[in-house]
Amino acid sequence: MELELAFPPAAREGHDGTARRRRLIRRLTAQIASSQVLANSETQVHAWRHLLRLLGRSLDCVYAVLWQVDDADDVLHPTSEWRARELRAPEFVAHVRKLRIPLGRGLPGRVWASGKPIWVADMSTDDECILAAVAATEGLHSALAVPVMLDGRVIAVIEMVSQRIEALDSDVLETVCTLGRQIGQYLRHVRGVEALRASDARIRSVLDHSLSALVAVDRRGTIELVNPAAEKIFGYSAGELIGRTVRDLFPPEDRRSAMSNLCAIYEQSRGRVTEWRGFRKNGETFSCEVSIFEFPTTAGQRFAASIRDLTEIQGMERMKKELVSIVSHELRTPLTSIRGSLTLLANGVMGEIPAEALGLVRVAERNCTRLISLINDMLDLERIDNGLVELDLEAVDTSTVVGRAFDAVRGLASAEGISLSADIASEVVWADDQRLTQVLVNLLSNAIKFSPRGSRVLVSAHTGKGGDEIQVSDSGRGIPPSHLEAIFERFGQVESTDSREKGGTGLGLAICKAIVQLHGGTIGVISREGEGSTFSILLPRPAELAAPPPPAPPYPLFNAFLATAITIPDNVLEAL
Amino acid sequence: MKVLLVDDEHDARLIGMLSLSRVGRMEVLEATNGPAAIATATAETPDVILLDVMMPGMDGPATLRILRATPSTARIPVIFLTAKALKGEQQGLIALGVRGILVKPFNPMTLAEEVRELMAAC
Repeated sequence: MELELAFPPAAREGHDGTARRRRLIRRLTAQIASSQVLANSETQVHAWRHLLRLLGRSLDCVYAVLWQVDDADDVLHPTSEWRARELRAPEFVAHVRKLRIPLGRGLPGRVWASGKPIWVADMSTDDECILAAVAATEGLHSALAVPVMLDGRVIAVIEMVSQRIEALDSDVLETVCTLGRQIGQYLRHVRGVEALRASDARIRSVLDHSLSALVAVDRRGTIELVNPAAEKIFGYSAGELIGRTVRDLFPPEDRRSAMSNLCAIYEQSRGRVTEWRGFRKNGETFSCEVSIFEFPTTAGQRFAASIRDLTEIQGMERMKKELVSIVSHELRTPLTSIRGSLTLLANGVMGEIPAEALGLVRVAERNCTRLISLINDMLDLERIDNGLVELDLEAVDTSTVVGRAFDAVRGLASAEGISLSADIASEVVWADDQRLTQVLVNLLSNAIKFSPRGSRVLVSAHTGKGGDEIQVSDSGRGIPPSHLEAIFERFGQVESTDSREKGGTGLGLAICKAIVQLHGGTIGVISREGEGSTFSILLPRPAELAAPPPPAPPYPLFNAFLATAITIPDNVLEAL
Repeated sequence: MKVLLVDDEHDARLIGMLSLSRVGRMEVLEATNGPAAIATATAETPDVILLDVMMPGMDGPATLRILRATPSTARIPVIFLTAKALKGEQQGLIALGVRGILVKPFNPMTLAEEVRELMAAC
């Protein structure tokens, strides 16, 4: 709202003029206090311009400048000005615009230092005025400088210049001082609004660039806010989405069921990532991950969902599984034929072959075997990771499993000059016997490969508090402490040359870990460098096998939004 | 011992044939599919049939059903060859009434021996 002030073309001199000024400034101060004057000023820049004009006019001045404290430079510098039409002082204005005033210098510098307004009756004769000479030439005389205070600090100085020489009483100065404080208060508000706007802009920018779709609804389920990712996922423009009921984002067959048990759905979904079905504008149904949260606004509680389209991820998973099966078939089949042929050749089944050629055939056969093992291990891990491996859990005779594992590694052990022994104290373990044998064969192969010739590898089994523990101990080179975690990762061997030199795939322990975890058990290792390692697997007994948590029910997308209707008037359900 | 080896894959069949004949000193007959296997089995009456499970068209189990339903082949022992290593899958195959299962890829040096062991087992 514009302040209406009367500006007589030429102010009368003397007492009348002073009284009038005082009145005007008081009115202005009161109006600034009630924020009327600056209500339309959207930014600080606008606010200052408006203020300078009002102040300049009410004090019969021709020129008003805003000096702001530049924290970095520790000087005052002009950031805004107002000029009356009748002002004819181009030199003065040009100088002002270039000035940087240090604390205590000139009229503005002194106000900055003192925090009090200063009135100079005639600046053209005042020694302390920086531009006294220019002011004299261009007919500028009286000047008033007012501090703008915020939290007891001068943040700016308003300087007003008049073409006349006049006196100003202390009463007016006092009023002007109050004005400076009011402006400071107002600026605090403007800065707050600006900060809020900047924060809004930042949030908007984050939302705009988010890969997740975001949809916010009011308590009735009416969409209030969406981001570009939401437009993309659902195929509607923001204009089409806003104001629409969130019900439209469900596949039609889910809409009815979404209307019942809303309360439970919302409670279950809040603070968790759940999977839903969404519905695009083109009629396509798709799966998505949804995380729901609520937030307060001045208009009341709002609900929002961050939504991720799973179509692409599911496609990738399908591709990954296909790739696994392609690798399985296309790589393994030819490799087994190659190995079969090489085995027949290497064993002289097809007739004698020269010794040197035989050496090469054996190299080829050995590497082929390694490649097949690697593929088998990779496929095995993939199958476990994809949940394709189901355990056939039963009470397994421990000695039988250990004996079977010994049979599998006996050839390797005798080739390496390692003896195998067992100390079995627990008769049965709860396990899938094929998979447990696989784990033991892996652990035993490692133990044998890393043990010095002539040493012994021991398998012991006993029952403890947490279940049945089976340990494989060797007196090999041991594992450095820094590698104790990594060895259970894929290709996490201590030495990168190990897989080549020791003939492993680098996946053995990762498979062991995956299988043991599938049993609900744990695997670990205690090792001393140079002294040997003991790998332990702990398998829980049936009573200790915790029932797996029930899977989250696959509620359709956005049902939770509709749950916003729970606490809302009855007519909402019909409205949706 | 006269063995009928049934496998649609040429390379696997060749290695199996060489393994059984050269290492195992067996007489080996070959067939590349189910109908050919039934024809050969009927004509030659082998001592045992090594039957691949996964074959295009008539697969191993389907071939087995016809062999069992044909009087002249009903009593010939059959051993399945399969790449399926899972216990559940193997049990399903055993339940169809075969002498045993050999998991592919097999070791050509021990294949014949394993066949003899399965034949001796009952």
